[in-house]
Amino acid sequence: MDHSIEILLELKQISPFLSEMKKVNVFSVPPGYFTNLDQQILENTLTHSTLSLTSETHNRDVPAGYFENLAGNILEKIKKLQVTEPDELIEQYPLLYSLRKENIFTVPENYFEKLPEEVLGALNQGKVRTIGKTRSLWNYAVAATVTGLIAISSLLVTNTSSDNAAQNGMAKNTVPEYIQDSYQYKNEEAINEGIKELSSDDIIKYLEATANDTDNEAFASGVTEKGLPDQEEYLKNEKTLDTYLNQN
Amino acid sequence: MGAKAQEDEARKAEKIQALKIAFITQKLELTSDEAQKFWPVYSQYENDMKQLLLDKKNADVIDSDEGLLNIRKKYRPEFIKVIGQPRMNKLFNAEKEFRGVLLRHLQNRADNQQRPMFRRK
Amino acid sequence: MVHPNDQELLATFKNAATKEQGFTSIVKKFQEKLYWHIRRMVIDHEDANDVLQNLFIKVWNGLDNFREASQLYTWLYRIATNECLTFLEQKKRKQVISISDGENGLTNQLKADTNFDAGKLEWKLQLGIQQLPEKQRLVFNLRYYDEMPYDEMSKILDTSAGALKASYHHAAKKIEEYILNN
Repeated sequence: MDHSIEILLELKQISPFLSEMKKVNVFSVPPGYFTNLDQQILENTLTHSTLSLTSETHNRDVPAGYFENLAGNILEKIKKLQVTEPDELIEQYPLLYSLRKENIFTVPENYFEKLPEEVLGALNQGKVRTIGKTRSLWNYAVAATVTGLIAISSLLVTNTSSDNAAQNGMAKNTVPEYIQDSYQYKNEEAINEGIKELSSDDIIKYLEATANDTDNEAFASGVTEKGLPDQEEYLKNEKTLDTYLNQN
Repeated sequence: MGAKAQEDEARKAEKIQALKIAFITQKLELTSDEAQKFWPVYSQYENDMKQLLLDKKNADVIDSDEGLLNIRKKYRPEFIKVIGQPRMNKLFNAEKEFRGVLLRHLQNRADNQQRPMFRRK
Repeated sequence: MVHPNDQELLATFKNAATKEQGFTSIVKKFQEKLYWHIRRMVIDHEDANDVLQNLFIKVWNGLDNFREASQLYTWLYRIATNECLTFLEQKKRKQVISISDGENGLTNQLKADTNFDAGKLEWKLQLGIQQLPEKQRLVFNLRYYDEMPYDEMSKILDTSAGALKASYHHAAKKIEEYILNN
């Protein structure tokens, strides 16, 4: 082909050395990769093309505030997901369930000094009851804390029969429950499986209850995973996010 | 909300907490010795953070950012003592990553696909 | 194998009854060229496959709006190139960046290949290519491997043919220097 010769001559002028090198392909491909690739690509494409994307031209600019609002927007949309899953926790963690009312939390030294007085005061007056979100947060706190006082305080709110046990001090336990629970997840797979057992509602509540500013980064990097519309798709059609998340 | 529903919520939150711990343990590659020393410190740190979140609802963003930083600074020497500086950095990233993993699970459910969620690279 | 021409391919695709057929015909015609273009940029096979998949999803969604002013393969290469650059950008963001002279994460991936042989010229060539900035890598690959005319290249890379020619010259010289000195 004339064209090939033209290119060869061009290279010879720039670098005779390179032009004399044989072209060897160093990249190996799994055997049979190309054989059914077209079918596989078709299948993969059809799976993804239930998205309704308009075909405006690509625009690589990101609108102002895009990432800042993204986390909030996503959470809002996800809240609308109608996903309910059976609660199997009682069956799965009978021991945990039975220990629910036991106060076996240890209290580290100086814990009482650290805890703000007004928080305790607010709890004792039951102020937490009136605000829905804060209540969620306190219930999370019950579960999540190793040291006892916050947990016990919220138990004061949620279950007054624990009062006496709480005030009389706590039985010691060497390793807190939730840390013991964590041992069962021995690898990535187990963790993913564990997450799959959670209802979407639970995950959302947890994320909301513990939200902080670093979330935007986590969400932004999570969003651009393969299989999700990337930022260009969002820009093509504002409804992309709605459509995408409302697939269910 | 009744007492039982609250207990359920508490249990679920505990499960998520256990998953978070497992996630961090793997990311930091803690030995069981290190884990023993690390978790008490981390739990205290978490409590402080929780306080902050409570207060945050009404506070000035700058104050709560400062609060977050102060808590981390406060626990920094202890973290460094039990797991070392490089892993302390990893710790804060791992916390972020875990939330990203949860979110990806949610989005994948919307996506209706089964795909492994986090790959260690 | 003789593939249908652009017109036929597009007609088959745009006909709702034969859309999938048209699509797979397009895939079959261009899959290898596009795959290798991508592979040479992202190095890893799995990554190349991912990018290729994304590329064809965009093709499926966007082909209806393809203005037949340019050739199909130009359009495809353009999307492929953009997908590669996006991918590499995302990859950079996710990695802890340790910058040492002329090295990037892809260099390490090359060296990690089971067939890697630092003594062989063809591997040195790949390492040499990695010394170049991304765009120059593209120019070099498109000219050296795909033997693409500068006019076509300019439609893909949004750069004048003259600038591309100069870029190619510099690239080849740099690579030669690298190989001869390593």
